[in-house]
Amino acid sequence: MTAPARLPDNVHALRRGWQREKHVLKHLYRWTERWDFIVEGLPSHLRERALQAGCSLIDRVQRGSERRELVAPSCRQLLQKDHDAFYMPTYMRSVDTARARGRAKSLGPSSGRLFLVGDNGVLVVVTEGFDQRPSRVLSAYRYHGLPPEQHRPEKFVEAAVDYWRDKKVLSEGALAKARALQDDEESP
Amino acid sequence: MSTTHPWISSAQEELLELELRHAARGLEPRAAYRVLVLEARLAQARAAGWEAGLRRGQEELARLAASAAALPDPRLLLERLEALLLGDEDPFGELMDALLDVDNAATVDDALGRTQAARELVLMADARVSLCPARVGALGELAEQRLETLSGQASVWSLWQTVAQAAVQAVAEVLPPVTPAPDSLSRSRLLARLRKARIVEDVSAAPLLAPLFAVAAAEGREPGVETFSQGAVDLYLEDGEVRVLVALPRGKKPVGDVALRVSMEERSITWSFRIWNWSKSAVIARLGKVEELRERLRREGFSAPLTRLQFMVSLALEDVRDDDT
Repeated sequence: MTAPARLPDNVHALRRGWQREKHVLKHLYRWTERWDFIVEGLPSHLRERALQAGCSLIDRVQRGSERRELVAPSCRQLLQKDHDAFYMPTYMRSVDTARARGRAKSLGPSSGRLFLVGDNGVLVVVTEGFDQRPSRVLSAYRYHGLPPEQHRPEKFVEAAVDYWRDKKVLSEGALAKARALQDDEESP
Repeated sequence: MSTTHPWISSAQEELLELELRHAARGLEPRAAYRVLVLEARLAQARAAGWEAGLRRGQEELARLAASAAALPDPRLLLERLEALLLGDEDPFGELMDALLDVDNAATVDDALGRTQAARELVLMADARVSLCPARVGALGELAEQRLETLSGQASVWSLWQTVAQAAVQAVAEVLPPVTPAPDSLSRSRLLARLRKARIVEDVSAAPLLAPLFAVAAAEGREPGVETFSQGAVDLYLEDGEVRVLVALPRGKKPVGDVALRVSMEERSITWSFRIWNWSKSAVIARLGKVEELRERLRREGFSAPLTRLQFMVSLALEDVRDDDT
């Protein structure tokens, strides 16, 4: 059996700039991810609010366009504010509770990544953090494939845990294989 | 072979959990689908030579799950995969999820005897992944693990094989060519295959569909009656119902139903309509009365105002073979 992943004590938030802005637009503001189930005080009508702030790219980003775009200053301000007030505390809560529940796992020996799911069903990819580099969040999202009639908080957690479990199992196999190869090389 | 592969033992453990949950509170559609996926994974592993049996009672659970499961729409799976392949988010996140979703759908289709559907889904997914080796190259180790529990006969085998080899392919693509050259032949062929594999047209501007943009209004807007043409697709009114005609390119025949995808900002649904009439050059499907379409939209939870509603007609195609009559 492989050793559990080592989740560093201090995990940094998503890097500032386009990646952070895009994640807020794509995930926090995507209705089907139902962040309102898990974020206290999250404003309603997030899309309309973003459009009013000049985030005209929201629909393109949510449809899947990842092209880097210029973001209006008023939009950038809103995205930063919502990241700090709503998105970051929630994905960081997922990191913390994943640690407590043992739901943090390396994604394979050469990935340099850990995959986590906390008690709020936020799926988080973080760097492992080695050579004194800090561990950092690379992506944080919720499952968004449930039809509206099945929108219940526990369903989102179950779906997230299914993905986590599948990736964990595949990476366990990859880690075991890498260890076996290493043992072979080290044996006389 | 031993039974120690984590993919197999995990499926068996999870099936046991779902069996207990089923005994306590029944299986909801998503959990039922998960049962089908896990049972199908074990069947795949057995076909690959692993010992991956079911416990007593689990076959009965699978039978119940088959009637309760909500199967995913393959078109949505492919659209999501394509969007994520074109993006730049970390591949270990949503992109890997999307590949697992395609795997699950094809694996279940294989287990239910729908091999043709499984192969079509994997063919389309594989074509998309092949175009973006740099996006999936990092997932090679996980793909190799998945391949360990698959036989070459499994429909999804070729997809994971492509992912496993993507890193090598990506390196080959970023190396400077020995002499300046256009896109490789294989890349051109893949692009052509993707373009030829499906007709997709936006029919949102069709006057016939105008009433659907006010779906929650008690009285809809009067539909226009004129025929609307967009590329290979015509939308027209006959016997009081909306019909769609899709012109077929020479040498092509339709695969499956005509699909109407309705999308609005954050969500979309796809309706399938059986081909009602066909010839070598075109197929026709009946979408039904405008009021029936409005009612379907209403039932799906779309509400007014729907100014950004979009309607896309699509039809999958394949080559006509010499032995087709």
